[in-house]
Amino acid sequence: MIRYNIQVLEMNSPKKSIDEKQLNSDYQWLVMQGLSKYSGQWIAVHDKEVIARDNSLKAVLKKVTKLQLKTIPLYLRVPEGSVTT
Amino acid sequence: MSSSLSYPFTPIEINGKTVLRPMLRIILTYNSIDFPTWILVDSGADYSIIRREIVEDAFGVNISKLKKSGETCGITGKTSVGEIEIEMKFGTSRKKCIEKIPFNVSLESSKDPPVSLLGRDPFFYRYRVDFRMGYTDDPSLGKFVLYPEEHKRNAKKYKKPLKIKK
Repeated sequence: MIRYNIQVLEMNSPKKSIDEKQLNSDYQWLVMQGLSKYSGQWIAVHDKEVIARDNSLKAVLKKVTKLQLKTIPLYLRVPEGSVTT
Repeated sequence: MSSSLSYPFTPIEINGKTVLRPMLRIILTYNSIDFPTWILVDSGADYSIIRREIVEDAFGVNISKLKKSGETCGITGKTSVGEIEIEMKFGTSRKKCIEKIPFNVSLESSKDPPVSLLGRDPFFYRYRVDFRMGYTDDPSLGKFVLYPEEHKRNAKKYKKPLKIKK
């Protein structure tokens, strides 16, 4: 149980804000870059840069926490695998 | 002023093919933790399902303590699910939408969907969703549009096509 609480504290301490404009422009930027190189991975995008990537979200969250950003980045898992029908 | 929200499809490359998917950029909030991410708007899914890592690693919920709420069958096969209600924000600075969505979470780690899905119940009861893939003659310029169901008609004026159990 402690493990989960630490993770939550890391993500929210100090309380980071959401910058909607930044999230939108980061998302548009990312889509223009192409996502195939991140297939199957979690990525964190901040200020038009992929600041962390890994197969697990936990590892991405850890990397982002170390960066001590003022705003929360965009977290995306790029789907892999098959075309669905 | 139009109250609709319009989004481009997101090109995703799968096995060398580019597939255009209706990915909605959202902010999920649970226990005062914000998690900006995306979700696939899936008219073929009865309910919504969220990836386990978001629940476990971002929101700090111990999935093993979630009560089984039922079973679901998707592209990853049949799986037992728990339920968690999460606030979901999307929209623009002019039109902000906040919805509480009951998400299914797979209780089996090997049965997670490749991406979180926003299914029909309750989202499609609150929004009309148009998939306009042929909006122009260039498919990459297609869009999907969300219209809040703000002006509900009186149900008494309509004949029910089927007996719907409530």
